[in-house]
Amino acid sequence: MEAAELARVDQTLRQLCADHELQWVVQAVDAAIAEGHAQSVTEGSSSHYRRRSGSPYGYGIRSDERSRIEPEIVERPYTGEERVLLLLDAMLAVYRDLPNLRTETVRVLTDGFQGRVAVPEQIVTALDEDDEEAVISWRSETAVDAQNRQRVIGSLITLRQAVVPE
Amino acid sequence: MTDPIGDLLTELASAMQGVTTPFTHADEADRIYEGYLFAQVIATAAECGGRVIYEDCYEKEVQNLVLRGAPGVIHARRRSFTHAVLYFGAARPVEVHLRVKVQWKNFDGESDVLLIDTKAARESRDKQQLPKPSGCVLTIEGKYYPLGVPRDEAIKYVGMRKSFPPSMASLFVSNTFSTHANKCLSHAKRLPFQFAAMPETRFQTYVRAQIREVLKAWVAGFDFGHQV
Repeated sequence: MEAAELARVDQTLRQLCADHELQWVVQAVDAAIAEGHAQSVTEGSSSHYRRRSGSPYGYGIRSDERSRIEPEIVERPYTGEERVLLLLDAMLAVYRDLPNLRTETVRVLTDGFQGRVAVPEQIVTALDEDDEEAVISWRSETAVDAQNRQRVIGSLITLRQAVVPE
Repeated sequence: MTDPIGDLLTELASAMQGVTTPFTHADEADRIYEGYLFAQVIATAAECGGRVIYEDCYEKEVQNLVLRGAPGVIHARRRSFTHAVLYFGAARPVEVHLRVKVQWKNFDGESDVLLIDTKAARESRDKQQLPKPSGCVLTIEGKYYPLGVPRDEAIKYVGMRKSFPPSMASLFVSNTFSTHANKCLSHAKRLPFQFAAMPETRFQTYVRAQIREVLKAWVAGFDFGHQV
């Protein structure tokens, strides 16, 4: 995708996040961008897979038997394409991964495990000692909600494929 | 003129209008992940042949769970937060608390999920004091990030663990992987950690395996006949 198109996608996604109270997601993306892309690099690591077969070192000291070399982390700025992908992945985390975590938690806590675990009637997460309203009500989402959310996930995945064609 | 990218963006905008945004704050994501890890402890206990009930701060069994979503103390009584109680054979029960503090010397640190000897938890409630590391069975630090775990988070965790004795079993769990955090935690030694722990992943299995090891050691201190 060309730079101008990437910028357009990035800007639109950021605006959508702002419109839907997802500023925290944009902040997480910006923090990741500021930290940069990190890659572990080990000198001579490409010889690791040669082992004995085809080794230019014969049965003597092979390159992967030398003193261990500490891997290094090499950093570089994210490319424009990667930045858009970070934003798309962060949005997928909110629309796909977090709801999956909630569903799994409810499933486990209401499983009962053949009578070995008590099955709660209601599960909430509350903040402090006062009787303030619960901040999270743990329950499975309705089929309609799941379907609507699936549409968002589908759109994000399609957009991701458009940014980085297979 | 066709505009396929424009069409995709329009479709996304329309789809997002059709749903209530699931999580609008980073804190909410953290609480979801802590709840998930709490559930992983319960699942592990059940898989290990344990029995689990839920209690309030008066040790009364409850069916309505109120999970703690902000830092607090085991001995708090103003709101009746729930903890789980795990029973294994003849072993003394283990309580599972969310977001409570543990004290060592002049330092107190929060544990996202704390498995604690019920004797130590009772003592904390009776004396209205923070529990000490000696009574803790396992402390789990859970971190949810939509992208990789930032390096500072791992550094902070390692620093915090240094404030507690190494004998206090700990586990760092995150939903994502990061090269920097991996380096930091690998260098720290003797601090078990697990990245990318999410439902239906092998990493979730590893988290349960690590919890099981701790439970196995605990039960062996009381009952050689119970196979965890």
